Amino acid sequence: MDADLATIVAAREQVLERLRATLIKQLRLERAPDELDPDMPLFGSGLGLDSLDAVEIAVSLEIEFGIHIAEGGASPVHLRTLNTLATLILDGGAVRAR
Amino acid sequence: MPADLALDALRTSAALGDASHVACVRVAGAGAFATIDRLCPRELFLRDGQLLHTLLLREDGRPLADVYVCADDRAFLLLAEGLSGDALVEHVRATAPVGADVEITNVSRTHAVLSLDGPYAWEVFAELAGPEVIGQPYMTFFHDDAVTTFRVGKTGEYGYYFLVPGEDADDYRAALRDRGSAFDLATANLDALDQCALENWFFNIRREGREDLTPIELQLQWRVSYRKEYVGSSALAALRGRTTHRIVQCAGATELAAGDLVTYGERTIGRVINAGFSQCRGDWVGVALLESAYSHAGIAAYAAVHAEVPVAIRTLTAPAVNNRSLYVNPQLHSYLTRDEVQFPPLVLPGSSCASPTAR
Amino acid sequence: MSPHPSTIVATGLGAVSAVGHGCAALWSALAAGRDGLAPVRRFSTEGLPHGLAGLVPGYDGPDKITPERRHRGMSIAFALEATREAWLQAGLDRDGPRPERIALVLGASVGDDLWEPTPLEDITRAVADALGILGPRITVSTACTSSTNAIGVALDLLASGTAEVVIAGGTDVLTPETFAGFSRLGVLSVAKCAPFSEPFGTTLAEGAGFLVLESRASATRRSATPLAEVLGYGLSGDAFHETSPDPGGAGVVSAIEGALANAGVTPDQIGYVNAHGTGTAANDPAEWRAILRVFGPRGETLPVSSTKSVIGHAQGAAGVLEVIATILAMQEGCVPQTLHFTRPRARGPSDPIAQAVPRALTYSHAVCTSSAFGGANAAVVIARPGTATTANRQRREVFVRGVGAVGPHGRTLDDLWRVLVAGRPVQSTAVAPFRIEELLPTADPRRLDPSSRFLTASAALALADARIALRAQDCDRAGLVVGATQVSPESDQAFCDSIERHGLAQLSASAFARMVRNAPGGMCSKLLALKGPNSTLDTGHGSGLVAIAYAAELLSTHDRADLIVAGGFDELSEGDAEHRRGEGAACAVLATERTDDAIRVAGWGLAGPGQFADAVTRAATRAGIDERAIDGWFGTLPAPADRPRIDPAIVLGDAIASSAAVAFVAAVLALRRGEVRTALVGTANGISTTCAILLTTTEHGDGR
Repeated sequence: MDADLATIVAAREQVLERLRATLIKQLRLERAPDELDPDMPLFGSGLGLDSLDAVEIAVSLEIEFGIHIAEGGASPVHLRTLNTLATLILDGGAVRAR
Repeated sequence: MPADLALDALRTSAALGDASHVACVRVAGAGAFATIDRLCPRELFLRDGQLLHTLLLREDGRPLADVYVCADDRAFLLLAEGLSGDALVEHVRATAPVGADVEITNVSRTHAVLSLDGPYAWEVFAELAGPEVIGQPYMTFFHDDAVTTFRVGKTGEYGYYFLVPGEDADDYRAALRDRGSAFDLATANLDALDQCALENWFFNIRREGREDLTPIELQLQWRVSYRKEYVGSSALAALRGRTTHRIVQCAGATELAAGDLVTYGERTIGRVINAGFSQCRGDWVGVALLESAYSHAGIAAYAAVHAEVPVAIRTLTAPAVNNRSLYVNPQLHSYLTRDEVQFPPLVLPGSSCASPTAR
Repeated sequence: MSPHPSTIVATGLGAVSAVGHGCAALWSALAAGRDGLAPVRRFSTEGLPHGLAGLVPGYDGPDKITPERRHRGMSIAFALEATREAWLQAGLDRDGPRPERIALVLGASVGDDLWEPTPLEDITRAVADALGILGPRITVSTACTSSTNAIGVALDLLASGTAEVVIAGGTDVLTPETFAGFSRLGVLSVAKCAPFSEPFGTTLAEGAGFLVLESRASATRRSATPLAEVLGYGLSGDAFHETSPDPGGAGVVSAIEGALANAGVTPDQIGYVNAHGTGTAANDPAEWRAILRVFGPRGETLPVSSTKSVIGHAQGAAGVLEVIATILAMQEGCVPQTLHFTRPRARGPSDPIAQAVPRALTYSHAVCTSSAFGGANAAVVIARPGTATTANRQRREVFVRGVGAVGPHGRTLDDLWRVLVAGRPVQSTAVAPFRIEELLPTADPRRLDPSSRFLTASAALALADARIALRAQDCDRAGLVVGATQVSPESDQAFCDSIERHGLAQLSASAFARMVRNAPGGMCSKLLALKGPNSTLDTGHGSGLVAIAYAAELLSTHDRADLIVAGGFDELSEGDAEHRRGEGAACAVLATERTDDAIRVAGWGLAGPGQFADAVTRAATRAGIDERAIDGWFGTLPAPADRPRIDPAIVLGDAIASSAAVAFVAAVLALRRGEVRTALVGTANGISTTCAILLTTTEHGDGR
């Protein structure tokens, strides 16, 4: 794996790891980190989170990653999976340096 | 072409489907819970009227069937893909605890399953069943006379299964078609539904399910638990932590097919296991099984070797479609006034591999 | 046909709300089409995308709270003002029954302070003491249905003869934490709330409202003028989600139908509905669906409006203030309007009385509805004075079918009996850790705090002891009534931690949802699918027993439930152990269906603080049993000098809400074992409510 790709992969893996830890803690999930697949749906099916969890995730994103979610709730497209959250974080979005 | 209409309808209005590939079995009796608990790899945190999406596993931990477990007032309904009704009955019987008081019925013998999917599927259904149904939560079901309605969907859009007595199926279908005409209701065949499932990252037992892959490789750990015992649990426990490959969604500007090897430079890192042309994206979407280190979203460094020609592919942050259903709010919207609303695009900018002129 | 003497009438009204002090101010605002919603000045809403509320004038300035005092005392101040206004209007200052015959039922969601929640019982006590009320003092805390439910409890107290006059209503203050919590949940509006219209969202408010309720005969005796009739009420639980309502409106249907049945009124007689109508995306459509289901095609054009558009969402005081608005309008021959209505939603009332001022309308009966966090719903039927002609209340017998308790003793009834009989105080009053799935395999333990877990476990154990497995069709008629005296310390800690660590704008929404007293009741009813009458009471010590008595009353005189699980729960916080505080939960399954081994709930009685003799006499009279036949004493009521008494608090620690419920369980066990034949379970509360319940075996109690 060349250096560029390794950097991209490492960045994503690191964000995913932080997301897993945050979600497990904030949402009191009884799952180990390795059980949370990156493309697993978070809402509806998959993890089956609900509107109350969505609020907790939005707060966690703000606190842990400095991502400010638009007023009125997080955009549905960003909250679909751990990977969509990670993509949002990696893309910068409205990230404030923390 | 009919296929185009169906795919378009599935993504922008609604389409009716024949879900004869879905088997339905009822498990009742005092031993029903214990039996289902043995079969079901997930904790049965289910209230009456709710469904759980899970798998039936083989002893070696591989998926045998793609299943919804439904809690129906002390009994359970199973909606399964991958096994016929009779085979499912046999599987349940073989798994039931010895001497369990359990009654297993092949409902598929007497009932048909119809499907309705699309961002306005709820509205078509409400035309037939009344506005009550609009508030029905996802992953719940209810009985109304002889018809059982499940709010499900494997396309990423609003979706329903209707379990209808066999003799009434034609009439029910006709009634939906009749109500649906104002909503540009189309008819979708299994290929169209499978294509939408592919785009929306839904596991397909008939495609990726036939590749001898484990739930871990398939990113289906959410459908299983490591904390209980069931058919396949020990195999799964042994597999945990030993997985070397994982699937990821990918896309390419030209044709991809199952079996195409995926390369990174000179190295083969995996293979495509399912692919299809995405009408709404204008490119080819696939599921690739890659070595874990390489199996990540947002990478444009790989190629798929199709008909011996390497073509660039990009790994995606699944799902591949920005489903209209994410934004359609049954409290607010209607298909009939859809032009008054500015919805976000079905395909996020920069997501598709199609060249601007190709669409 | 002349008005029936036992019909309950309101003879006094008192209101403090966002549009001012007093009922005249409320009517004046309604008549002028003026709302009380304005930018919040009293506390900071920085960091939140919302900033409007309905604060009480005179209390809305930034100088009204200090970091030390915060909102302390404000809910009492509001309540004192409103109760006094009602008291004077009813002429209770010049002529009334003796203090022991007057009761107070106060609804409160949060009270003054979410940060350091003070016992709601303190508010009720302060108001009762100020008015000199010495009958039962009951706090109802079911979030936003509190005051509607409180009115209902008053009806039951009057119908059973427990009181001659009842002051009923509610009070609540809008605190920064409550505001932030609702804002974070995404249910507040960026504009003044527009029920049934847009934009979505509600506007929070505060205030207090009270009614003086008594029978028509009592009013006549006292020369008090009936202002309205309060004919009946209904309760239900959605059993759906902590904060979102059941989208199909089934719970609201059940509450409204329960109210109509209790009132002896048909849907066709209803001329107006004062809806909960918060304006949120979730509530209004569900409520509208419910209205259509109850009223049929007539519901399409039935006038429906929401007074929250005028005074905001006053939380625990919302229900009663909206009832008062309805009564005031009824007196003027009109119905209150819905303000701020612009575009109708896709699905909603075709006639939300969307106009600036009230509309003249001839009608005789109205329904007022409320819904709350935890899925509680309540509805009350109001009528013009002189309307009702019948008040036929059938009484059904009530039996104990099963009991269950979770505590320091463990989880089995045998363990409980052994520990109680041995009489030695346990070493640790904490409950040993357990997982809810052990008792209830289908229960997802996520978001269950210890209070919810104890309550759900004991309820599940009681149902198992009763050998009852509820079928889907039974759930609508199976309820849950709970005694609770605090917010779960664990949830409170999580809530406060989230604020301390990250500020109000980033508090934990799920912890906030658990900050209402009825959160464990809501969670328990969800996990057990109990959709019948749902209520949470607080009477301090012995709340769990009062809950059981209330459940018995509901089963006996309301026809909406066949089974109610009732009891109480407690959860230890740090420092409690040294005071021998107890924790755990105890529940009984009460039902109207008799089985061979059932214990009969022969009689029950409530009385004011310290009046245990009255409570016992009431229970004995209802049971048709001579008090001298009692041969077993359980709880904190004094027993005759030489007779043994089982008081679980001595052995298991003083669990404020649940000890008395554990005493109830012990009594049932003693009866089952043939150790006693007539058991008295009682709580001798010197501050709020004394309660006595008489239990007998079914053969023994026959042939009265």
